[in-house]
Amino acid sequence: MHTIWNVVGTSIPGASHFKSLLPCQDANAYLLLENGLLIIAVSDGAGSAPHSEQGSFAAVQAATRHLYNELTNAIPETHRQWGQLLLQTFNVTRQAVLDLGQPGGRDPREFACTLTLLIADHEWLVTGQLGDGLAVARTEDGALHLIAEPQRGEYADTTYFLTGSDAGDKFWGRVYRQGLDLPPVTALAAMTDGLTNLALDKSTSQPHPPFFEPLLNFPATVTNHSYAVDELNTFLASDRINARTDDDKTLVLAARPEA
Amino acid sequence: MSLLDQAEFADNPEPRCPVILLLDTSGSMRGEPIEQLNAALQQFDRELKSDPLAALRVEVAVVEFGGAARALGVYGEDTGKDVQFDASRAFVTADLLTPPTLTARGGTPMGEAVRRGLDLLHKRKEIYKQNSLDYFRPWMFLITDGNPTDQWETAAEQVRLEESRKGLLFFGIGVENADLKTLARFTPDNRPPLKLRGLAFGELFQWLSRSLSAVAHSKPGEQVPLPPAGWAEIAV
Repeated sequence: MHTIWNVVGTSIPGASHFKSLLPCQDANAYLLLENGLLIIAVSDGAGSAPHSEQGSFAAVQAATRHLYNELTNAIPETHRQWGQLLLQTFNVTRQAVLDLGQPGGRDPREFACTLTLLIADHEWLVTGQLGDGLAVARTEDGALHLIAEPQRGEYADTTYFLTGSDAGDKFWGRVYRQGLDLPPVTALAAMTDGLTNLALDKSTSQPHPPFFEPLLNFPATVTNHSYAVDELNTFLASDRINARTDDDKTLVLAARPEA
Repeated sequence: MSLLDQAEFADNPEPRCPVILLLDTSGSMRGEPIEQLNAALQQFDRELKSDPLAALRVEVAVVEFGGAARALGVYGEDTGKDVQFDASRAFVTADLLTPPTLTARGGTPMGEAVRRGLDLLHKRKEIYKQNSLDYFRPWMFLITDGNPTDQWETAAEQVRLEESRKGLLFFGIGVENADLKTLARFTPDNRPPLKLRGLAFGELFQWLSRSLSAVAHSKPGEQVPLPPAGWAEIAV
């Protein structure tokens, strides 16, 4: 029996973007394949880049499309094969963002954005990371694992983008075989930088359990997908969240129903 | 109530945006200039506090140079006292700031002030790292009305080097008869020193508080456009 995931996700503009009439520069995409594989991509467009909302959209589309094409027929069987697929996906995604500048010969940095990838089924858990996104997994034993941690430069307002010349050096991936490298995964969360300060305990650099527990229990309660997205939107736009962050916010949550 | 509303947030300290004010308090600042500067510091304090996020993120230190260079306390009992360049006492977030009242006297040891200021920033960054605090690029803001009276050349080189390493942002402001040519040896080529229009310290510090607010609100990858420097004399 293949794993079927309940998955729900959304991106909403931050309070400061409403004020300055900027579009939401975050984007997300997720896909559930018939063979039980779940693919999640989230991207945060750089605040300084005038068209970064196009960059983040192109990035999540290109990444999920490539993974869909590659994974529909055959699922990698070794850590090494997954590593190769991740690198290939990164290159294809990066090129898709760079190509946005092509028509008018524009500077690709106008489309600067980050990329966080998650791929999971009942056997594998694979993450790819460039920039300051964040991903967390909950395993059968109830433990939370930081599976993609934010990359920061020295300063709080610096990170790495797909359009950077150093993107290839900074991109990294992790391949876990469940039951071997970590216990079987029961729930996943991926998010952009807007939520990091609420989700991680900075002093320990570990996921904050009271933040993640209700969120990771949420997908199992979903009966209607669009209602669930509404509920997620309401949560992310709440005063309680806006008091802590004025940035764009993306949250994608997935869980395996009770076996 | 949605299940999502049960999510509790990690209570992390805000990232810090340190700014060191290097203020010329030499004898030539006596009278009107020092009074205007003191009034401007009070206004700076009020404006930073009026932006709740900036008030939690911007950290201020004051180094005066008049006769000798001293880091002055900016908080509680320490206010106005010589804190011996102790990086744990010299800075405070704007919400707790009490600006010292400056007095003018003596020569202009600008080189010493810059050297000590760089050292203070370096130590402050170490404190941030020890406490897992994120931080923005520090600002160093030098205001002078004269000529350095100490050995300043190596300090100028140090600050330019640090700026080129993106270790800080340095601003040089000349007042009245300040020697802008010497000041230009401290500032990076793309940010030459500016001359204050008359004694418009109030406008200068209003600009500074607005700029720091913009930095304190900035996101990764954002280049913060600074407001126009209306306080500067326009070069003809």
